[in-house]
Amino acid sequence: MKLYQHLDKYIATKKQREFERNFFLDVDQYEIWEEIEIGPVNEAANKFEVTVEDIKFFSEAILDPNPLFNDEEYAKTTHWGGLIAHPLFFHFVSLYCIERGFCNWMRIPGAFNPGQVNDLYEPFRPGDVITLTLTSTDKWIKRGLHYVQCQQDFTDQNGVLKVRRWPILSVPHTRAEIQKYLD
Amino acid sequence: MTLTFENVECETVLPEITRHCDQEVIDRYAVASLDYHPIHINPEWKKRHPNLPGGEATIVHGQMTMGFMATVITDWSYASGGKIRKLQAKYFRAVKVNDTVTAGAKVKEKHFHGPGKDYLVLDIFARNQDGEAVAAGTAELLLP
Repeated sequence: MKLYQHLDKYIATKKQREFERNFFLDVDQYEIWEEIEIGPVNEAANKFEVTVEDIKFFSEAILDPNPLFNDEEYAKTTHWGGLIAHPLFFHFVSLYCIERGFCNWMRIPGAFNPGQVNDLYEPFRPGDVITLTLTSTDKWIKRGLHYVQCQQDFTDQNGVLKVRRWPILSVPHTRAEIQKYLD
Repeated sequence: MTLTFENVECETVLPEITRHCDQEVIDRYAVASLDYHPIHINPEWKKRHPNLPGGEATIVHGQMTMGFMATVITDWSYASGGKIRKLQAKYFRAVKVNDTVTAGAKVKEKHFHGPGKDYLVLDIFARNQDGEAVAAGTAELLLP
């Protein structure tokens, strides 16, 4: 039985149906702050093939009715030449690609996001097949909280770098700390 | 008038947008982004962990707040060929369930690098219904 069945009514796409939404699952396999190694580069397990329905659903959910993100016919008449995704679409791509693999500390219950830097080179478009490359770039303690930052590179099937970003999370730093959030 | 790099002046204030964020909005965004952190979508769990941002209330995804600030810029410029190339922000205060967020932006700098490379730097911000700052940062916008 899937967790959060009250969300079932919103599920509309294949990616949403197949994604494991229980972030408590396999929590003992999450990388914790103490174990995170700075520097190694890894490719995320999943590739993300961008579809029209992905773009439209995301735009609707982020409450942006701009026809560039919703209306293929309109978008064709603009200098963009077709549908593009909302600039924050990378959020969706990153969670899908990482799932429970490398940099899975992003899923730890009790984590929260104090800020981020995002360089956007090209918008995501239908047909793109995105590979996500991940590197933990920094970890630090400030005012008693433990932070970790990673670099995420989103590259399409032609080798074009679409987005490079550096999200930061404050995370529980030990397995004992994570246990407090598993009730 | 078509928006161009040439006809935009520093201190130009972009039209603000306002978004009400009830639990349904948060839940739908969780499904769209696949970000199922319980801090956003599990009200009972959140009541048990008031030490996390937002106290006993579930909170809006920070990315969604960032998205509102991006929308201010895309609404203003994308039909004219604008293209965001950088977005950075810090979150000062959690946006709680049932808060109403207003996002806005102001042109701070113009950078002259030649056709296709000219860009603006904008201050971006978001505040809640009480006028409290919830996020702020900067964006860079390429503009023909």
